[in-house]
Amino acid sequence: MRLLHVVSSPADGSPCDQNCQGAAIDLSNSGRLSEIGERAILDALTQRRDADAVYGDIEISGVVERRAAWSPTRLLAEPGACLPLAVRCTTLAELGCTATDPALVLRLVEHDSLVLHVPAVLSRHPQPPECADVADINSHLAEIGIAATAVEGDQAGRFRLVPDPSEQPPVSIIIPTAGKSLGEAATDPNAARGDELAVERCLERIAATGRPNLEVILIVGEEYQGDPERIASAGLPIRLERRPPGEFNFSAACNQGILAARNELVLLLNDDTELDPGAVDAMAVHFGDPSIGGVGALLRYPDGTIQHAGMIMDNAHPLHPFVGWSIEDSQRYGGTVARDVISVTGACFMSRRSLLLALGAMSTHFPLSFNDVDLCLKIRRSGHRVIVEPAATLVHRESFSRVAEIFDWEWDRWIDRWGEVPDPWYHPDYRRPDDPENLRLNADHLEPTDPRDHCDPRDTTIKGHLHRPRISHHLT
Amino acid sequence: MPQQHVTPEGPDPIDSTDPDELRAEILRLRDLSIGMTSHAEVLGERLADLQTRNEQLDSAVNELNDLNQALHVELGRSPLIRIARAVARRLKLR
Repeated sequence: MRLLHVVSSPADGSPCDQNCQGAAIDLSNSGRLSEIGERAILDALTQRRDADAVYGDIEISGVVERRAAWSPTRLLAEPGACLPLAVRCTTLAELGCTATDPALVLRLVEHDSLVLHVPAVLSRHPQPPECADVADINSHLAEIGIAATAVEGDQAGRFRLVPDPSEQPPVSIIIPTAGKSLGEAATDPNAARGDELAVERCLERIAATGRPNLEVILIVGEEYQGDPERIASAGLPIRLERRPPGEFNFSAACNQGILAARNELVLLLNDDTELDPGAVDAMAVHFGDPSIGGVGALLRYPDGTIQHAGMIMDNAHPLHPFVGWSIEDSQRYGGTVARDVISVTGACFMSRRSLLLALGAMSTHFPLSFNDVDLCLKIRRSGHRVIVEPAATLVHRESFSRVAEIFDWEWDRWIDRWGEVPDPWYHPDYRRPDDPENLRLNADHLEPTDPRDHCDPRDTTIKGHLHRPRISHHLT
Repeated sequence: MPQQHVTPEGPDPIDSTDPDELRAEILRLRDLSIGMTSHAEVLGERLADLQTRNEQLDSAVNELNDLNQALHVELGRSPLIRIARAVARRLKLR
């Protein structure tokens, strides 16, 4: 490809005919291509003849915004997240759009287009490019089947979804529990009653949401401390499933619940969590879009800081960014924006029962750790998307019921199965510190240590690669 | 490390008459199948990686052979070797 039309006003939005083999990019409001911009765009579209469009990182008033790979869900919350976009003229003709149409990115989603990201600054702008407005997003929501209304979000140019209250699909909540008491969590400041079971608190909060169309399946084993029948009458439609005798396998327990569930939407939930009102609907609303295979939530520690807001993968290590950050601080890096991610935690994970069964559900190969990441990769590989919805919030006393430790055999199995899966939503400029002692201090990965241009375009394909470890693998 | 595979002596869950056990086994096998596909990809890359390293080693060995031969030729041309060979030839003539 040799031709890149640069358009700067709606008047020159259709610079060519449908037979043009070039691409067009809208650089209205004094935007301009960077030194490598034109070459990188043309090279990307030449290398990937199946791609419809390409975008890159952007510099606005001298500040570089590094971007993630294509995320249709992110566009619902932040429609300017991949502008400006260079689109093939043939694709524009098919869509009946011009390069200056602010809703062009949404049309590309509806068209199931292949859009590439080049992790390098391709253009510079004095102000953010004009993007789709709330009306565009609402008509897009109707088009893709999401029963929600978009409203203004926490920052200019950001939106959030308000699920339609008349659409509350039935959900089965699956909770494996050992019946441990909150008193065992010595650091928990909210544990007012030491003898109260974590699962009791969990069920109380579910009941308090007042959401109809819920079924709760408790998976209990012989290790359960107390009488599970006592909690099976917590004002919710609860079913008890007895785990077969033997060593506890979290994945097998979840699978037992998935098999027993009567609803198509299933929510895997740890018993040491407390759902906030609206969390179930905020997650469930995304399943109107058939491309969605898994939805995660924003999990807080009892002190209100972030425990989980989607995961990243760095050198084969699945990591939680924003750990210990306030929710407000995470806004700068899009922590509060619904978006595609490589994985979410299994502590609160919604999916389709039929899809989970087709994929073998949670892998019993990973009885304790990695089972959630493995499941998300399987979902991604099946052609479905995994997203995090930070509007769905809950408290999680992380690993209060077990020691947060990854054994060597778990790591070996993980590397054996997946090797190193590059994370398309994690910018190559970001790297965790190569310090085995600081692996858990991974909240600072979102500042580049050695910024450079990476001109290889990337899509959202998930594929295992040979793992080349940078440092010791122990997550201490 | 938990036992993952059915041993020849142990019961095969696929023979179970318990529907729950059978369904769990079907899930396990589906997962195993997906895991093996992914594992095969990783192994494929490892193989390609090893082949590349093998080719690099082959090429290094060839370079060393060439150097060795050149060294032999060079040694054959050195004055001391030539004199030694001449002495040996004359000794044979006697």
